[in-house]
Amino acid sequence: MLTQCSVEEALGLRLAMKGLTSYAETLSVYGTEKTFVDGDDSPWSKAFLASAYASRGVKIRFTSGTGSEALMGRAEGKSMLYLEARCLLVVKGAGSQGVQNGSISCIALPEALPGGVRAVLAENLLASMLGLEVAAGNDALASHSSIRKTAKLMLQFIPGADFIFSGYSAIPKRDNLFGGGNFDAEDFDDYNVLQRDMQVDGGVRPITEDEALAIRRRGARAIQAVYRELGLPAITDAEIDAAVVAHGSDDMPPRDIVPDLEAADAFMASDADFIAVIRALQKTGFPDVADNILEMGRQRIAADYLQPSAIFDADFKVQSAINDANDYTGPGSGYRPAGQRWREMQAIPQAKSPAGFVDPHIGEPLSRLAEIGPAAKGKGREVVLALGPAFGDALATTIGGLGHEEVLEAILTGVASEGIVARIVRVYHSSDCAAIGYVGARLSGSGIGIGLQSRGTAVIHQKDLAPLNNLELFPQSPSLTLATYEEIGRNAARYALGLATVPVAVEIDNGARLRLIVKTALLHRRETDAVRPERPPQELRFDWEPDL
Amino acid sequence: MSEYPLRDNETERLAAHSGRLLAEITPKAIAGGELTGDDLRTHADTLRQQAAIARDHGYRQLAENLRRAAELTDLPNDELLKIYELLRPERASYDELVRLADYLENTYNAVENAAFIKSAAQVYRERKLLRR
Repeated sequence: MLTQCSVEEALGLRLAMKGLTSYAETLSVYGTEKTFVDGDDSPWSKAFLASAYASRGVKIRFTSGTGSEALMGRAEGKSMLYLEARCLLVVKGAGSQGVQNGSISCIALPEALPGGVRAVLAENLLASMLGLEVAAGNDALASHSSIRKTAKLMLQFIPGADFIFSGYSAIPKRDNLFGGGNFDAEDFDDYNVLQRDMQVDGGVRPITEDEALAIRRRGARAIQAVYRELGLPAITDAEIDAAVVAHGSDDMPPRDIVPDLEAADAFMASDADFIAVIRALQKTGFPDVADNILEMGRQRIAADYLQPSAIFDADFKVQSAINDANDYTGPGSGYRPAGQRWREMQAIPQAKSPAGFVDPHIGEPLSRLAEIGPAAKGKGREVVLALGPAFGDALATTIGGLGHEEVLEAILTGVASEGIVARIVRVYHSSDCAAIGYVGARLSGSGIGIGLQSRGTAVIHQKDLAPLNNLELFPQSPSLTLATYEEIGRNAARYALGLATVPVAVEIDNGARLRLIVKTALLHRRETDAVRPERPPQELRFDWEPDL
Repeated sequence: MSEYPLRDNETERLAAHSGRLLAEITPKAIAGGELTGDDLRTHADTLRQQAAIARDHGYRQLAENLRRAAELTDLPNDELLKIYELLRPERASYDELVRLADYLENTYNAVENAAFIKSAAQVYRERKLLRR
């Protein structure tokens, strides 16, 4: 009801005069006279239109963009950017507060040319330099490549513009009369994450599905009530129910739109205006919506939002270049989201609490694992299994969900399968896997140790190697199974016996790092929290016999 | 100089095109059927104030636009639409544009719009954009 797009200039003005729209932005200008005339306008007719809108307190934005003259066959041998610079001077000269530019619906044309997208960025910059409000395009589908689409978006997203999009379309592509938006409702989730990634205010706020449904239902009900009150063709409850969850027009029940169009024509021909809409909302239980629309009328009287780059905040306080000027002067200056707005942007529904990552790995300390005194250097053909400070204590399972008790049993079984035994020690002074394994190797009679962190990362170490070196390293703990741990035990025993040994084969999962890095960091922090720098390694007894 | 934003700083003085004070434009007044479209339109004086604010902040062309807009507040909607139509390419003769400018100046004291339309007439003649 408060938007207007893609209508003929005179109709746009009539809608504004009725108060049905509060701003208009399709006042197109062109860089050559012939294109202007083909568009049935001149700089004077457009400038007059701008004044006509302002005389009714309606905000406007002109529209221009690279490629329109070429597309209309009237480029006269001039470059797209040169012609766009002319457009912007016409916009400025006509007294528009701002411009929608960035090639807009012609975007596919510069996208097809060398340096074309750079020219689009340049036209946005020119508009900024002229002190015009910039609504920096990004609306029309620029490419089918998600990489190219996103790369183009970043040109405005990162440096900033008054509006990164002229209008972020929520309409699915097949319903969009502009031929599809570069981004639409299907991209909201990603877009919210981009805001969070870059700490850039892209104008969007994450909401829950319940909130979205409630807002949609209330909006649909308000429209239904206004239609009923103004005697427009009835909207059924079934249509409301469908509209609340509809993605596009395909999801709506069939409707005879001829009476709708006739009713719209009759409304436009009548004296009725938005006062009738406000009264209808007041009468039908939507006083807050009525107040919002009335406030737009009151704001027209004040006309503050005719100044450059004006927006309203949630309380209808105007912010424009007059009272909130662009104060960017280099790195560290200018607008950046902070406080409440930044918290709002961070609150994406899929964000998880850190506790949720760690809680599943916490359990009771292992009752079968008992500390018996300071660890001493052993003799003979043994393997020393050195555990991280939180193993079987502050933490109870590996990152892959294997119980610490079962992991110990598997490794000991592997060692025993080669006919030797393993001693177990706990390292307190470090949570680092190599350091833990190195302690094991140096305490071991054979010089072979296994280091094992609580999250399951393991290393086979040898006492004469450099601390950060190893015989075998198993960094991908999520992929390790009990069978792997048993093989690790067996290999360690074979190294201790001086036998030829084939390294343990492990599965490589390229997705594990992305999926589990947060959990890894949090589990490692738990391990590190258990570090006691002064406490020497302690000998442990594990109440278990090999099942051989 | 006017204190921007006027909505907050000049609330008591702001009036609609009809002359009705902003303070009287309330939900209750709407519900009582007391208001018309003229009560929710901006007043020429307000636009002139905004023009002065724009000029003082370095927005000269916007200020000129807002001053022309102030002159147009008294024009009925259909006249505005008619003038826009006449300014489109090849709609009017030179004399028609000059007569339009004089009419605006004499009827509405719209001197800036009159000068603007006369400059259009001049350019349209040079560029052959007058009605043939």
